[in-house]
Amino acid sequence: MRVDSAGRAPVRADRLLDDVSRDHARQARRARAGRSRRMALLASCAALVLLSALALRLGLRPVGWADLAQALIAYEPTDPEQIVIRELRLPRLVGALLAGAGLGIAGALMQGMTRNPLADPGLLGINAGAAAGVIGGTFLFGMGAPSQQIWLALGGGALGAAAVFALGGGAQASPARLLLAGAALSAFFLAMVRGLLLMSRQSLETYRFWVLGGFDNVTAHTLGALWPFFAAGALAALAAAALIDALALGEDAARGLGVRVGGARLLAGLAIVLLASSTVAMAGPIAFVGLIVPHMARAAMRNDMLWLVPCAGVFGAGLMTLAELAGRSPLFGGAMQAGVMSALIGGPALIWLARAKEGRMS
Amino acid sequence: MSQRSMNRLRAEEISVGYPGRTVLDAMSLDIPDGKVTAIVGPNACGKSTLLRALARLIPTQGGRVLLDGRPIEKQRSRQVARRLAILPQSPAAPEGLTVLDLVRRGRTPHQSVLRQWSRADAEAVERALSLAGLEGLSSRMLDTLSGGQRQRAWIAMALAQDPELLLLDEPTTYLDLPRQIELLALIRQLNRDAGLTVAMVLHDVNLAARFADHIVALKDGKVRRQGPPAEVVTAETMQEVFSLPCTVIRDPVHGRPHVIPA
Repeated sequence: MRVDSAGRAPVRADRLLDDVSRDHARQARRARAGRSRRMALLASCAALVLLSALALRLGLRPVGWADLAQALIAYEPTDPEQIVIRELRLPRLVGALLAGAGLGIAGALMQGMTRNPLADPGLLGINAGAAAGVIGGTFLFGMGAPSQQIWLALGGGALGAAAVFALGGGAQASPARLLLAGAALSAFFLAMVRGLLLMSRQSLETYRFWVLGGFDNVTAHTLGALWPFFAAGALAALAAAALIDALALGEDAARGLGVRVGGARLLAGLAIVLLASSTVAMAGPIAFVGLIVPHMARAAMRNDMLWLVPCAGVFGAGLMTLAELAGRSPLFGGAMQAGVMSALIGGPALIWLARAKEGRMS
Repeated sequence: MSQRSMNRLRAEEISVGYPGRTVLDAMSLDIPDGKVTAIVGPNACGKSTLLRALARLIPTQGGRVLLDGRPIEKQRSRQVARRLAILPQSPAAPEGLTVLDLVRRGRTPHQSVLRQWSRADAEAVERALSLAGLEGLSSRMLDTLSGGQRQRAWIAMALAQDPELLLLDEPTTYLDLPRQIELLALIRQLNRDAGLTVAMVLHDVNLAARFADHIVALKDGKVRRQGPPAEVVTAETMQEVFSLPCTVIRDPVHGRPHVIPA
């Protein structure tokens, strides 16, 4: 070994050895990190299954495991316990799972696409558009039946989002312009809704019922009508995930990677609109879930959309189910809305996450 | 001219501009295959615009950019990205990414909804990390790296695309001198060992003379001189292109021209 006059070579050799051992440690940590994301996702799935089973069993009329299994595998429509599960709790549970997953995924896409950690599907004008659709339909055409409301909300939400995209600049839309257009149009829609509410008592009744939302009125019919929209939205989200990851590196970098920027934004937007409008059509406007769940998912999965999308889906479904279950517990009089409960659970969770992150950074 | 003798990336009479301002006016330029080309010129001479047009990041208003003999904007962007990688000027990554997360995104043009992560992707990422000298750092968060390491991570992302041509827009910005030298040495090594054709915008003419095989000097959206460093980096050209009175000597260590401002 050549040693120069300053005796630098031995120091370098030491550093080299040190580097090698550190490399091994890092490689091991990296392998663990890859495994740990998969393990975290699997564990969350398992927890979700358990939570779902619990949600089916618990309630005013607790049902045993045997009856639960029976109701799911070999339904006996004469057994009252099984009827409770099949006709009441199962649609409610599936509704909560779909809504939570939809909002979680839509929120993750929103925050990834706009590079804004406070973005939420509600900001795209979807909730306000859906409210305007429901109230407008009730007022103008007297369409107040729940089965009609689904389509009014779905159409209103999609129209609201389309208007926001168009106002925000279409395929050239910048995130900032989108958020501004969303805020402006939401205010406009809500002003319209308030106007109609003042004019018509019947609209007010419909609105009061609709805006509280929740999963009590979710039926097999609702689910049958809406599940294709959820499925299409989830597929579009998975297809958009890698494109959003590339876009997060900046538009030039994304174009250099062969991504068509406008097309990628449109695909992600389509996924967000499908998921968020179907949710608001099914359960009314549920705030907060779309905002909080992506933060929880990022804490577990880092900033990687391909992992974030499924993880936000599972976390969202879990949070919504938990909120729904807690809302029905005697502690809250047995009838607290799931949307209220999700905010009660999610709010402190968000504060805790923000504080934990601050601690890490300082 | 036969297809064979043509360089893979060339601009034919391209005009590029923004509303109200023409930056490049009917410029023609070849990027020589298998060489390191440096594009130099004073601020606002259009060098970044030229590079971005060559990489189809901005549309041309006239003329065309040819990649492998065909207009680049007529080819599928994903297909282009498998042959040509571009590192934009001072790129920014969102927080919460590791080096590996970033480098894996270089595989985007090789993947699709139906064809997700594969063994070939994993191998390309490993290769890119090792070429950029980042094997030991792959699990580090990007924001904990030094500027030089971070820039190498971006280069590794471009290498993960498996490109044959690499374009870089001022890759040495914000780096201190040792890190600039290290990065340019890495780029030249990629050219020599991996056969990569490189074209980069550089601010520093001396560094360009030291590390490039071919230098293109721009002024006011036009090519004023191009050729090997010894032919382009002369007192005359420096005066003409940069309006810089100077003496050019032969660098006694590397034998390249070296500008000494008067």
